[in-house]
Amino acid sequence: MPRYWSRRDLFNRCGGGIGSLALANLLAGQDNPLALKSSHFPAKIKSVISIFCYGGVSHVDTFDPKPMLLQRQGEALPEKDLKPSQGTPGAIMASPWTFKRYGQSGMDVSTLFPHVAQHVDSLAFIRSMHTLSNDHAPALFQMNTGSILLGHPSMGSWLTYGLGTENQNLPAFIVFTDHRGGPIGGAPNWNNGYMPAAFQGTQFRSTGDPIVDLKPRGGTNRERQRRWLDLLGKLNQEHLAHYPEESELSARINTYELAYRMQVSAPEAVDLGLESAATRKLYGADDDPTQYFGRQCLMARRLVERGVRFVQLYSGGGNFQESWDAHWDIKANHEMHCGETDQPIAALITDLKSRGLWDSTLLIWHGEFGRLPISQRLDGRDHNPYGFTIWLGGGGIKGGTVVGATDEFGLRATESKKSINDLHATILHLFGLDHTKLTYYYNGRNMRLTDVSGEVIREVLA
Amino acid sequence: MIAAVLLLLLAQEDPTLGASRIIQKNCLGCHGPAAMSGLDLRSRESQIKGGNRGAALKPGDAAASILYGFVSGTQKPMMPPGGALKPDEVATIKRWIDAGAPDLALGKQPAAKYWAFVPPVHKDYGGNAIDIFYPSTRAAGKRTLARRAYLDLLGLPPTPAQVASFVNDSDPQAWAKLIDQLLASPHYGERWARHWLDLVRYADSAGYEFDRDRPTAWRFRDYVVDSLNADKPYNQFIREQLAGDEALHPSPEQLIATGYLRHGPEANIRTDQTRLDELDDLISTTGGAFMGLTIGCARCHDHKFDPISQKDYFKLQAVFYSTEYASHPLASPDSIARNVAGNKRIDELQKPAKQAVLDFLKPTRDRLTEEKRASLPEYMKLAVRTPAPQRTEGQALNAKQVEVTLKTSDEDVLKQLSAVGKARHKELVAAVAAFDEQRPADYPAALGIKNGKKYSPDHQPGVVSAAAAAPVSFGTDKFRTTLADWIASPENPLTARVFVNRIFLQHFGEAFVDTPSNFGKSGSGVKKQELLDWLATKFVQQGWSLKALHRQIMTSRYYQSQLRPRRMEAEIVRDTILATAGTLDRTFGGPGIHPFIDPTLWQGSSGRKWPGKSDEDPATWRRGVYVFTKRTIPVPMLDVYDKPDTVASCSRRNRSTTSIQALIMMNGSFVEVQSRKFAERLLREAGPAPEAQVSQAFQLALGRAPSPTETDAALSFMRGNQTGLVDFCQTLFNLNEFAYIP
Repeated sequence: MPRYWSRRDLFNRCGGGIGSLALANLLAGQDNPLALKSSHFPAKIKSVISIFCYGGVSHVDTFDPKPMLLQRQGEALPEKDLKPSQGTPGAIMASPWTFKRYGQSGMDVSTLFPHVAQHVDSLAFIRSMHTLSNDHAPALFQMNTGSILLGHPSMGSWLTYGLGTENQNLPAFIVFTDHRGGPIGGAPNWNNGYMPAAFQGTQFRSTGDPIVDLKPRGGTNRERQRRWLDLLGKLNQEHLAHYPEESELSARINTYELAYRMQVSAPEAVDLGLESAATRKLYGADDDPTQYFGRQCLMARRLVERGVRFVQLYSGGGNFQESWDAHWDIKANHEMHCGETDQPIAALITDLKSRGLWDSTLLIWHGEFGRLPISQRLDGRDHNPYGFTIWLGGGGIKGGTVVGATDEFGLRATESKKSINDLHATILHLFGLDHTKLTYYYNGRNMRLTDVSGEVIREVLA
Repeated sequence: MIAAVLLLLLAQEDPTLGASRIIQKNCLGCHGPAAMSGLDLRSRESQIKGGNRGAALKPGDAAASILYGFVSGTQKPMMPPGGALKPDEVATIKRWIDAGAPDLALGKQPAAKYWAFVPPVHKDYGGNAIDIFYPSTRAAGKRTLARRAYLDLLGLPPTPAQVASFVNDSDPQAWAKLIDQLLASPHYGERWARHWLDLVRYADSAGYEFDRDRPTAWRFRDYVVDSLNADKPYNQFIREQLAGDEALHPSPEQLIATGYLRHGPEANIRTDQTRLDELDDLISTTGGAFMGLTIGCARCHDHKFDPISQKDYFKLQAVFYSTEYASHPLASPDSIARNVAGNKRIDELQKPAKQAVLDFLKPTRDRLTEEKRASLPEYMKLAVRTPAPQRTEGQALNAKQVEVTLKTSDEDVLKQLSAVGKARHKELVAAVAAFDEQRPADYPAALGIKNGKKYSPDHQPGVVSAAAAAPVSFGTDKFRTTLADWIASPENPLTARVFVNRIFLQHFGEAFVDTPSNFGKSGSGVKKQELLDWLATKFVQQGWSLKALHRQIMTSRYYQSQLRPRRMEAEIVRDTILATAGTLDRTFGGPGIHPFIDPTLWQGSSGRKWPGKSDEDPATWRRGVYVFTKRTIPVPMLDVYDKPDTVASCSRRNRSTTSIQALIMMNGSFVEVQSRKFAERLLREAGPAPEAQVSQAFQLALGRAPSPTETDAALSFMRGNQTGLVDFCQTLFNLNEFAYIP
């Protein structure tokens, strides 16, 4: 067992000083699942921020204009056998909003996203996305894990498994749920599936302690904790000396030191009191209705600045109109959610750029599917997995790009259709990872984030 | 000379056997299931049919066969591409084709020779064979052995008295007696059930959007615990789970056992596709858990590594196809009838009360609905106004949408009511609810399955043919019974081996096959197969007795030697903390418990709830195996220590080492509460003297006395330290020695 040989060798050369097999050894070592690993080829980016508009954003009301909907409002769609998730399909319904062209590129954005619209020259729209399920949970799982089935590792797990993390004092994969509650499907959306728990996403809260159990109930007494952790270190020694070749034991000891540090580094990382008034204002971090999402966007910037690999922000949570799932009254629904998120997202883009983080960060904006061009419950829209829009920006992305198109009603992706596997392949590619080679052996197979398909979307690459 | 030629001829391999070997080795990688260039060389028909380049061979005429042309190099491209065949191999191919190219029976015989498909043969080694294959080095001390045995078999640490009793027992049979005593403890079943529950992806909820609770699933968990405690023969255990409901007069136990077929996740919207996925879950789980085969790989294509064809997959699908979800009543027909009648009576009584609520709200509701109708956009109004026969297609859709979906919710109506009106509404609703209280109690039921419609007759059931010594006949019904009999048979080459490998792995942290649910070629391969086979055959000889297997393993000198420490599973860490603090509630069985989970981690959508109780509540101080397993709301302390996600079968838990684990152990309220309880116990049992407290604490937590250095460190820590004792207790819970089985 060469693995133990080298370790024993090192142990001997250190003259028996177990303490000298310290943190540095763990951070680089085989026993730290989050140790930095090299990519397959040079990476364009270090981090990704995913803005997940849970419930499903209507593409035909935001980033994919369809004048035909106004022209033919009240008429039946040509496609007759459409089966919306909740039945009783109506006729074509016009968008309650208007579109305008922005930037050098002249990309269309509706009046719902006036702030984001200012940045279109830095963004790539993919208007030809499609997904496999018409049902929230499977569609969420597919967006996050590549599979509509429960039990697969999420993209953040794959990235931390493949690349490790640059900052051992913070979790590598962080998720903020909406203040109204988490998405359908719950924890499996950021879970590790069949991979070790070390690769699961850690939920951060945007108020109070960011991590559950970061402090004891009643607050931390650092001195008191330091004292017993020192005792722990001492009392672990005899046992450790008994099993010098078991590197897992010293790795476990070191996790306590990392956790001790994280108690300081995590609150600091999300302490918005350290941001200038101007920055907070940019994000609308103290104002309604932007304050919740503004704070999360600002925290996301602080986290990628500190080397966190994957940050996911959920807009929308809880039930009914609290998410983007506008089965009725899409006007009130989308105006509320866009009002909460438009300014913060634009601020995040501006801020990442001004801090030189834009080129090393990928920003992706997406839901789990789009919405139908016909009415549901009179003034809402049902789920549309056949065609929808997402956009990307940041490192390695060619701004001012529009990829693909849906048909004249926005019902189905027709030109340059892109799958979720394609999107995942592209994200891994930007990290310098070949999606066909990043594999994890499970149940007799080398599993992949992209299963057995996926093509890098070259059209969005700079 | 003639004799020499004759000898040479005799020595030549039979060309058909030779060609079979050569093509198997060199060609089938591309021209087998993958059928590159359309060419599949596995059957005589497909050889003659050929691929994109036409017929691969012309029987009786090698020179006119492109297969021969390619391998001999007379035609391009030269095959195989990785390197030419040897001249004698080329000659064999020629002779085989010239002889009429007899059927090579490819993919049949050679694959069946794979070790795992050949039944194990018992060989006597004159004693415990484990000690022949694993010569023991240094014997472990008796204290270590006591702790190892308790944690291994019960998942609970020995008390100081239990350690002392074993250490002081000079009887040469002391060890064997201890093992027997532990195997007789009901805690044994709780400990070992967990492994089986991992394998059969047991959970208490359905997963996906609503993640609905399965409030009777726990009966299956108790069934597993009870079965292990009773040392139910493993072959019977298999039969009950796969086909308990097909017994002539199934017992409650047999019906509960079929919960095995119901534990998989269930989609929110069930469709033909999700049904096929459910069947896949049954095929994959059954293949992996019972036979160590990755049969699921053959869903889309023949298995790439193992002799499992796609046909085999669909034969197994036919076995399970007729299953339907069922809730098996566990009550007499009389009491079920009484229950139904009782509910019907309440339904009748409730009708007027329910109508009263509707009538009370009606005027307001009607007014609001009319207002909504008036505010519809013009094109919708037009659609409604237009007489039905004259509506355009779009208008028909919209008119229907108005008719079906223009409604006013109770919530909207209530907003309009005055305070008096709201109070009246509340009274009326209470009157409805009052009747519910008179409903009869639900009768007990078990989550399971039953047989429904059969698959189409042209799609017959079957088993993995390469693993069957002889074809298995399925008859016309009770397909699962036939499958179970085949799996649970001593002739099955895999079942016993896979099981003993799992048990060995749990005892030592390593085993013969390191991928315990994959005995195929894509798995780890096998080490010390002779020992595996010895254990497997012995296991069957001993009546498929798991307890006998434990004895076999644990009485080996190897088990009693110094071993690598093994990390405890999540639940065992929790159990051991509770036992050490003296707070463990040892109640057996029943519905699961809900320990505290911070609401920010689960509050969300679609009515998913976690009725967590405070860590201060003694009702939560039960063993980890009783923690309710909700698929979308994992309990963090268990989750971060790699409790599996219960979506698919888990044969071997991952073992993570992360700082999030440490945070939970440093700051979580569970550890905080139990540290305090442990300190209280020390004060109670050891009195106020710190020396006595430290000594007792080590005995309780680690089963040994502290060394002088440890005593010094602990005492100096506690001296003048107000929270010293509690913090010292928490320190012990966090020690490596505490969390590893020695």
